[in-house]
Amino acid sequence: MLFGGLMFVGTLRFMACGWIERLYVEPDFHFKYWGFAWVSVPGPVGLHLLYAGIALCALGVALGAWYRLSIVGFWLLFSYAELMDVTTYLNHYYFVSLLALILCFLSPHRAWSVDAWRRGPAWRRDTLPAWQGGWLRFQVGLLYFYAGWAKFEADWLLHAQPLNIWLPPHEGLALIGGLLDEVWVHYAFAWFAFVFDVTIIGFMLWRRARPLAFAVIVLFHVLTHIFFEIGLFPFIMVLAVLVYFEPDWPRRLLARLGAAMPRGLSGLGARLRAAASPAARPVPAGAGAATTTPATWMLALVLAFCTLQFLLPLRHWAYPGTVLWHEQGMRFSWRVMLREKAGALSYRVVQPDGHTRLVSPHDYLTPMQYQEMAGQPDLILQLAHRIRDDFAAAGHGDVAVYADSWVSLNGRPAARMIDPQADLARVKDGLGRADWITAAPQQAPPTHPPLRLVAR
Amino acid sequence: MIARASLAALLALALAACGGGGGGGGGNPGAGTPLLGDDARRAVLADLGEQLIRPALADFAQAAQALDAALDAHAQNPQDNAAKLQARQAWVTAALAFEPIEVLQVGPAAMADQPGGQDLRDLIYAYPRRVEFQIDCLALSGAAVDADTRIDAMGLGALEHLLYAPVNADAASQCDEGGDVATLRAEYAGRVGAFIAAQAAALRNAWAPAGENFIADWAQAGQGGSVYARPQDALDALSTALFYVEKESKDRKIACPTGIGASGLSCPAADAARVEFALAGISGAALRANVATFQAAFAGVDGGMGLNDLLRGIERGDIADKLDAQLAATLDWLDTEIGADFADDVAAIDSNEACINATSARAGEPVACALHGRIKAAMDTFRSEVVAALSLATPDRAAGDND
Repeated sequence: MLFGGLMFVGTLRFMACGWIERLYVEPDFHFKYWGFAWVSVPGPVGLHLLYAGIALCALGVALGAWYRLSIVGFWLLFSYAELMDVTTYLNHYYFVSLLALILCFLSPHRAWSVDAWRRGPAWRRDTLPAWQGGWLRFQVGLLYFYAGWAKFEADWLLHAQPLNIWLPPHEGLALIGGLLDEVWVHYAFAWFAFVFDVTIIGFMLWRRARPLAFAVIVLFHVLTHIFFEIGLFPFIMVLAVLVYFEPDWPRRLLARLGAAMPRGLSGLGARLRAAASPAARPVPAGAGAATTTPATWMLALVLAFCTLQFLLPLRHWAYPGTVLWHEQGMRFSWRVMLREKAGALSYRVVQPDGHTRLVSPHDYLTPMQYQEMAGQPDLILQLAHRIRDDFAAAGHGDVAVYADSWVSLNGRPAARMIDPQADLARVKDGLGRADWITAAPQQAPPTHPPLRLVAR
Repeated sequence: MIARASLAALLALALAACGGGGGGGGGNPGAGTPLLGDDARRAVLADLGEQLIRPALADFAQAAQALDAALDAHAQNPQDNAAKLQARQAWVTAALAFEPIEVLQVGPAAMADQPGGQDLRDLIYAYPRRVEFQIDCLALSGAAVDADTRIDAMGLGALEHLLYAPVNADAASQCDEGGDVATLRAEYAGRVGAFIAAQAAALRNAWAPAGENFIADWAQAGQGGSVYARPQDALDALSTALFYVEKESKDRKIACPTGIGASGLSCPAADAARVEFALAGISGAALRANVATFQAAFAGVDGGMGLNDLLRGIERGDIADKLDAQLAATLDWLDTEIGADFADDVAAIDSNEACINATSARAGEPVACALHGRIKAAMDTFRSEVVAALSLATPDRAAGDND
């Protein structure tokens, strides 16, 4: 219910902000995920229909109306939208897509839903099979687990980067703003975030600590909402950790609300208490037990899913070097807000006759796309291939394409990220080790002291 | 353990509450007074607003007023060559006075979706959009000039065509309603000039303390109802504006005419006709104005502060020194090697290989290509190191969320 509601609001927000036009209509070129080059971007009408479909499905999920159709539709449409352009990749969109996929197999719509009302008491259930809640808890916990251990690296813990860069501009914030220029605060935030991420699920699993842990989660995500433009992410996570509470928490909440109603609203209070009562949802004898254990195929599917999700964030170990630099294994691994990368890029295109041209990313990309892709080697490669193809189509033959790529990682001096001698036109896109990406700068990032000027 | 974690969080909040918000103020401290955090950012903004932006707007408003008068005189006597030459001279002064503002499209000069933006820029100069046929067609039909007029047929770009080029042949055949062509074109130029002067005055007044006082929003960003919630937001606006030098000056005004930039494969070879102000022959001076304005915003004007002070204030003098040197080298190249008309330098390009080599070496001949290399080096430093160190925005960074 809450997931669908949040996605409904989020999709409307996306449309109202004009992001369909800015992210998908305006660009002439869209970056593809490896293996998903077939995903195309529809025209403006199709895009609006796509997002309207996402909103409609989200509303269906929120209301529990034709739930199975709605959630499958939501997952398909949402995932398609996210696959349209890599530069729009966000960890929380990926998380939403995973949650939606899991929800396709669950049955949270058998109470408090249009479907439950529509299909009658015999179909309703007061409980969700334990494995369903467990699956959700695994996915939420995995995110925190990997987001935490991703912070176990020198830039974050020993140099407080990139928080040392990101926090000072928020100095004007009420209450805590005055501290945000202080280096010790950057370290404190960095270590707190690390400890928070790696431990919070443990506390949420500990019944006695749960309320307090939830309060810390809310505080943590309120802070991230204030400091960073991360859209719905804090809200999604606060809602997501609710799966760690006892499954009947909504009923108990309603019962408490019902009991707390003033005399004038005693009727409403009674209704809330009635709705909260499991007795109001009779379960046919034997029906509940049949659904508490998943079918073997379902169990196998859940295990396969969980194994894949556990292994996927580890894949960066297969690539030598620093994942923050080469980005191989960066996506889909919960490396959230770990790097400040600013890059400058241009291409040198050498035609077979030796004639050389410089191609600016501006020729193909919107400023937002350029900003996003300049620090991501696989996207630099994709654009190189597009340039190669365009030159070939224009009759310039089999050109060589070299990248002049300078990137600053977490405040370090800019360094070349792509080997300037590597002809990207001949490099195949794939999952193998990319030897055309240079080694990461060895020097530690600077930790900036508080901004202090002397007026002239 | 959870209790400890919570206690730590509460302690952090309590400490935060004691922080005091970094001090407001926003006034002008005396020389030698240390400025911290947002006060430092505001001081830089104040200096740039008072010493760079407002003077640039005042200069342009004055030049636009003179242009209006000169065009009026030209319209009174279209056959008088002296009046036309005076109008051209006034146009050159105004066009070059607007080039710094191109690099400073913040506040009222910015697009309407930006803080304080009033969409005034395109009404004054919509480069690179200019359609000669439309300009002459509107001129020959005696059209009025107002905010609804096509931007590719008005502004400084239209005036260059009207003052330096003969009537467009297609327009002459399709739009001529029988009047004297020279008179109609001079009269239309007069209306365009008057409209530009009005926009220039509006832009100047929008910043003036006695006018709409945008300088207060700018210099007191993050305080007192400023349109900028934080000083950083104003710095972000400035940073975004400064990228004009990368996309327009470097890529459009240099890379395309020199033929080294592919620009969608539409600039196949060196072509002097592609320079800005190709008719008036002031493209070199315009480029210099762009770079000089960028340099002024970075280093400050007349002893005032600029973005490089913010870098030095966080002990990143290494980056400040690097970009200072790159900008100085670029301006030196513009002063010593590039003529007032960049088209001449483009015309001197006779070898693609030499051009690429000069770009890479940032020196040698053709000098136009070396200029490209110098600006590129400076803008690469800005886009990567400066932006990263100061957490500045690049264009369109606000589209969408992060994580």
